[in-house]
Formats: sequence, structure tokens, C-alpha cells
Amino acid sequence: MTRFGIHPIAGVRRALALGFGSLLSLLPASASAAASRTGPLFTSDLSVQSVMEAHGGGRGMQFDAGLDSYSGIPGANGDLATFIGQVGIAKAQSHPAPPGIFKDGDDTAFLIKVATVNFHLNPERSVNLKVGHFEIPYGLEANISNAGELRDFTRGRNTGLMLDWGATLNGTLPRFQYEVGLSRGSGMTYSDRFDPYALSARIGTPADYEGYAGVNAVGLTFFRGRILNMNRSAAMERERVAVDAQYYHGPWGLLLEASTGSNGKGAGRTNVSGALAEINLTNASETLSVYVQTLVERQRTGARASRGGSLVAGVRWSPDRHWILSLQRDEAVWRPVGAPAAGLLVLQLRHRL
Amino acid sequence: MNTRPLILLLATCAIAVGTASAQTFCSVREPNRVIHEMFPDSTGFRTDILEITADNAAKLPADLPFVFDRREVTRHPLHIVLRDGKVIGYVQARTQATRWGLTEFVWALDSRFNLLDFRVQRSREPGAVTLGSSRLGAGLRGLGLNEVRRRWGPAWIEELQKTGGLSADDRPLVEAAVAAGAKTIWLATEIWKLPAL
Repeated sequence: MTRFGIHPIAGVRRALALGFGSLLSLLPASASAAASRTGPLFTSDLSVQSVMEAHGGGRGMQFDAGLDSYSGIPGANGDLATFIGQVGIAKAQSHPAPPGIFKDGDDTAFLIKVATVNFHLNPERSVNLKVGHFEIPYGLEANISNAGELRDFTRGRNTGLMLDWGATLNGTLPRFQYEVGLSRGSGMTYSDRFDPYALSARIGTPADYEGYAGVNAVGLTFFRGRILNMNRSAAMERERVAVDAQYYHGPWGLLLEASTGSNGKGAGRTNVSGALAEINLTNASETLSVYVQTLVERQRTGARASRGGSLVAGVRWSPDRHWILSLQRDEAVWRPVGAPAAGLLVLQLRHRL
Repeated sequence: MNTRPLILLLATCAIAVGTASAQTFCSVREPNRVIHEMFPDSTGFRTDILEITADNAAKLPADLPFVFDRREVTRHPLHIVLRDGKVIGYVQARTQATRWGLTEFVWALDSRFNLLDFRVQRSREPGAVTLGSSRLGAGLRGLGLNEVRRRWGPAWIEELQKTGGLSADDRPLVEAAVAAGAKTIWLATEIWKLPAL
């Protein structure tokens, strides 16, 4: 009976004594009672990353500033729709491995991230129509929010997209949740060059949850598209079928994602199969977690075949709901003969209000 | 691309909204499925955002069986369940510390702020699946805050554990479930002053 005998106010005082009083004091006292808010909510998201090549290469920085908003759109009998908008600006400075949003290692990008209105088509919200710039429903990230985190899974490398412009039908039923999307296939920015498109569909365990910590769930994803590359110079056909599973028991979590499919078409078609496995360990207060991932991928184009794989290890410390300090190291452990060693060490400090 | 105006805009917005909001949107859940399970005759719901401040937490009477984690001092979505436009109950996700991590309960209250039913939304506890499908929710149905306060103690928790068909290992989870429900009532009635219907 661990909770008996603990004085509740003492619990709060203990929290204050831990050094978080200054953060708590930022909250407005005037909003303390009956503070109902049905208008839009805003959250700022600031991040700085120090990125270093692990094998004597360059080092650089990445700065991100974002603003998120959320609002229900009210109707007479409950909310008619839910709006989520996220915009941000990202700056790379001597970045040795710049993400695709940047033209090079010294670039600045203005980003429209998630920007959706999800219309609730029935009172149970089991059928909803989401329009706008949405996250491609794929694999583990349907239930795990990795946005802005160092930890990553395989959606981007498999689909060539994280977000896309279009619409989805989505909802949660007693036995499963689903999302089926049709979108432009151009990713962060809208473009019809090369007539791209993306069809994406995932069905999985009903979870009602999307957060960093995850929840016990399995899922099956189908993806097909002609995806425009980031500099809009070409489009590539991509097909995938993927399964994902996550299971938590005590402090341990086990995550799996496996896929098979192809890139390209005709004589240049490459068959691709890959998998990710993660084991993670979290403390009882869920402020500290460590994870180790293994990624493997096999490609075959005609008679030519290649294999690659990497190991990723990371630690994430979030002492309160504002601050996150993360460190991640990845290394291309299995690589083609003659390919140089490659690996990154990234330290990130993030603040959300 | 001249990015200076954008940087200034974002920096200004970050400062302006920083003290007015503290909601992590990743954690905004719309548990529509369980709302419909717990209120099968509902015709919809709306979501209000309500705040727990450090001042609120300090008002907590000593005889209530829960404490506040500092991470709860923020804004929380409250789902107001409707039938033909009339309020028939309330649903809120509530997080409690348990042995192996945080367990998230979704608690339903009736329109008079009595316990109605709950679901386990996320937990690392081995007994969470059993708890979610147990008869514990039915055993607590209809209890108000004062009844929980009066009954709370090791003997009652043990009785609830047995009534729910749960093992002794699940007792911390039972405690957490009851505490989450009582906390939801206390916040709704004493802090947010929602009107009983």
C-alpha cells in the first residue's frame, strides 16, 4: 500500500523542492479556477541539436523553432471537427548529414508540418475525414509520436515521405483502428511535377493513444505511390507491405517493424526488404529511457544484391513536461564492401511550453 | 530566403503563448471508442481544456488518497458527453504512477460526478489487461468523492481487489484506479466547479 500515509500537499511541496518551482511559477494564477478553454491552444517547441560525424568528419548544429495549435470546432451536439496546425522554422549550420528538408548543410527552411482538419462524420467518431497536410499512416509511428525526437523508425526510408497533402478516412472501432489516405506524393511542399501520388493504409489494434511511450499494439500497413524527391527533380515508384508490433512489460519495451516491397519500376525496379527491432528500458517515473535499435535492409536489382544495416543507441531524459535532453549514436555496422565507415553522434536539448 | 521575419514571428509567438498554454499535443487523446462504450446512448461529445495549477494542487485535503505529480500541473482535456445536446457525463484521462511506470486511466463520471466506469488506456503493469476487463468498474459505480474518502484504506482496497477478481499483485493498480477516479471527481467539483446536473 505504497500510497497510504503520504501527505498529498507534502507530495506537491516535494515536487517544488526538487527545483521545479520556477517552472510552476510561470503558470498564470488567474487561470486557476474554472479555467475552461474551448478556443485554440498553442504550444511552442524549441530544439537545438549538436551533430558530429563519428569518424573524424564534420560537426554542426541544427536549430528548430515550432508553434503548434489545437482546437475543437464546436457544433450543437459536440465538436464537429478537430484542427491541428504545426508550423516551424529549421536552420542547419555546417550540418554534416542534413535532413532532406535542407538543400545543404547551411540552409534554413520554413516548414508546414501537420496541418489538418479532422471532420467527425458520425457521433461515435468511428468515421472521420481528415484533410490537409497529414502524417502518412505507417507502422509504429501510428501510435508512437517521434516528431521532433532523435529516435526514428522506418517510415521515411520506406515511403520517402513523412507528411503529405491530401485526405484520409480514419477512426477507431471496438476491435481495430484504421486510416486510409490518398495524397499528392510531394511531401513537405505541394507539387504536381511528375504527377506524384501516395496511397497509404494502416489497420491496427485500437489504442486511442499517440505519445512517445507507446502502447501494446500490432498493425499492418500498405503503401503505394510515385513519390517526388525533395528537390523535385524526379519521382520514384514505391510499394511496401509492413507489419509492426510493440509490447511493454514492466520496464521493458520491445518494438518490431518489418517490410517488403520495391522501389522503381521496369528494368530498374529494386526489391527491398527490411526490418527494425528495438528494445528499450524505462524507469518507473518514465523520466529516463534508453533504447537500442537494429536496422537491416536487403536490396536486389536484377542479379545484383546488397545488404546493409546499422545499430542505434540512445538515451532520453525528460525530468518534467517541458524539457527533454537526448543523446543518440548510430553506426552503419553492415555496409557494402569498400564503403566508408559512417555514423553520427547527436545531442539534442528540447523545450516545449 | 530572408528568414529573419519568420524567426522573429516564431520567437514572439513562443514568448506570447508560453505562459498561457502548456498542452503537449501528442498527449491530446480523443478516446471516442471508450466514450461510446461507457455512454452507449450518447450522441456526441465536446472537449474543453481545463487547468491544474500549483495553487490548485496545494488545496488538496490531506485525507484524499492521492497526490499530484508535478507533470500534472498543466492543462487537461475534459470530454463532456452529450445526448441530444444535454450533458450526461464526463470523461477524462488521468495518469497515476504505478510500479513500472505511468498508468493512464480513462474515467467516466455521471452528470452528478459519481464514478461510472473506467478503462486502462496505457500501462506497463503486467496486471493491467486483467484490471481493464475486471469487474472493478462495476464495483465502484455510483460512488461519490465522500464515499471513496470514507471507505479508503487497506481493507477496502483488498475487498475491491477480491470483488474484481484480481490477484494481490494487482493491488497497486486497484489503488491507482480508485485514486484516479477520486482525483477526477475532486478536480471537477472543487477546482473546476463544474455544475452538477
